[in-house]
Amino acid sequence: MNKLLSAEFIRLFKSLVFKLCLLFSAGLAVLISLLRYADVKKNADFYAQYSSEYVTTDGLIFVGALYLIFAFAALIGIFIGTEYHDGTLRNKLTAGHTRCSIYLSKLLVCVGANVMIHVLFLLLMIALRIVLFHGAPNNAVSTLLQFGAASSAAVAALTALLLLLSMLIPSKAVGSVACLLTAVVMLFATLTIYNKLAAPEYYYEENGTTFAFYDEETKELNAPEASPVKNPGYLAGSKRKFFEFLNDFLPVSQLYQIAQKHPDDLGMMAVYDGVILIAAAGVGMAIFKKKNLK
Amino acid sequence: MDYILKTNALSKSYKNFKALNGLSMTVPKGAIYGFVGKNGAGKTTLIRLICGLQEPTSGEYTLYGKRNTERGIVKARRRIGAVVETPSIYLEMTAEDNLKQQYRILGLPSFDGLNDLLKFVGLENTNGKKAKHFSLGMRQRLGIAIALAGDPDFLVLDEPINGLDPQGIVEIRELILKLNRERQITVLISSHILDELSRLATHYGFIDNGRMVKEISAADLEAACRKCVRLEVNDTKPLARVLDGMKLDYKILSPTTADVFSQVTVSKLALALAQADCEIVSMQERDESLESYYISLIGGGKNE
Repeated sequence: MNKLLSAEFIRLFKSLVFKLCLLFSAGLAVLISLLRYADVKKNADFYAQYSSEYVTTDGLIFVGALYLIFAFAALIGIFIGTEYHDGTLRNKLTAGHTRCSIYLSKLLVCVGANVMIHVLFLLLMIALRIVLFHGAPNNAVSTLLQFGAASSAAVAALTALLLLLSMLIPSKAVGSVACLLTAVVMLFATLTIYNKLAAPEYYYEENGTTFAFYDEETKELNAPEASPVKNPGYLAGSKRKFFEFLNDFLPVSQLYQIAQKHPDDLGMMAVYDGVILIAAAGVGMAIFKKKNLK
Repeated sequence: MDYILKTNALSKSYKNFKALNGLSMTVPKGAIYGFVGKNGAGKTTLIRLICGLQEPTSGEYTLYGKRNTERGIVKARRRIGAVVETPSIYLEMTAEDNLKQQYRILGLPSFDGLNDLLKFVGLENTNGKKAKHFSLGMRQRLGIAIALAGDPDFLVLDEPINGLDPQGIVEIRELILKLNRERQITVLISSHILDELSRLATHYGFIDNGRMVKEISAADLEAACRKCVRLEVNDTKPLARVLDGMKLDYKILSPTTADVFSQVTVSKLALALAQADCEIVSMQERDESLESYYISLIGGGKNE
């Protein structure tokens, strides 16, 4: 296993796709920071009314993962697909490595790679925050560390799911496309779940116009003088509970919550990530063990 | 005799298709075993099973005395080097990096011997060229070098000369012979290019429809293949009369050609034919080729 890990990590560090993913992550951090910086400079009066979350990049430190999921998918699709395409998986088997150790080494390397890409983004965001906005983020270090660890756990869980997919598809092209499509679907699912949960229970009608005001602090609806109308799209009861569960369970949904810095329960999310990681690895190894390789 | 590989009623099915159907074979130590069969006969399937890429549906095989169901098979497999179908090389890496990667996978403590191995397969001067820019022959040789990295004593090569140019074929042949003679490596080569195989193999296994039709050593095959003299004459009718008179075993192939299987005294035959007014156009000594032996064994086109 150690031999495989050493060989695989060296291959990872030499691979062009990993370097491109790191570049994408760094470029994204620089772009997001510079855009916020330029916007704040240009519209100083407008930003004056807002807190540091908006006037600096404090509120954007964790948004990168939502873009980086495509880099994670591409990396896994290509890195694993190459093993099938070039036939090099055979060398590992004939060298006497078991299928379980091959699968586990791939999981550890891919998790390591994606967490590195993610952490690079976070570190660069913090560094650029200090340089561009003259000071460290206003969040407590412990909060940043908690969010960083939780988002890394979600990245690891997402990686385990994408690895499961790519290890089962013996084609580099098909595997890569399947990983990217999965990332897209998971992001859409996240946005759908979030929108459904965020929908207000009541709308208000005034002069024939339907609207809803939300107080972000109290989560209460404003405009009490208007007449409330029940929102038919509002999720209630067990359906709401199910969507809330999905929101906490799915790795991309977790990343979305962390990006907004309003995660429901970081501890529970970490447990879910552990469950996903172990389940995906278990299923993947069981199928890979029986898989007919060429 | 020591055997490296033994298979016993080995079968492998893919849904309704039986790729291997109770195949039994033995590969003796030190042999160059030519595994002969047409496309789809089951050659690659057997190699995939031996290399652990797939599991047999039924039957078993033993590698260095370890059954495929035993734990020790993984360790036994470390003594194999294999090139299955296409060479297993990272196309984005150089020959040296590919070998280093295999050294790491094998857990070898250093890269000692790497340059010797590259030299051995004739790839010492590829410098920084990536494998994707290699010719097919170079890739094949790099695949063999990777297979040799673990210092195996059993090399499995699946169609190693497919698609190679004549120069590449000669290089691979020389390499295989060198490995067998200088390093005493047992080689299993699957191929359907019989002429090439006949220059290498010390043992043959003929496979058809997933079954072993015949296993034979090259020496026995040579003895089994009947030598003959092919005669081309102006008319085979007088020739037949003369051969009957001389009590020689023969076969008329056309109105002008015939094969004589018995030992022929050329001067006596020529004299007799001249007296019978039969003119000899040409006379050639012929061996039955591996190809014709294979065809007679498998049944020619009737199995296609």
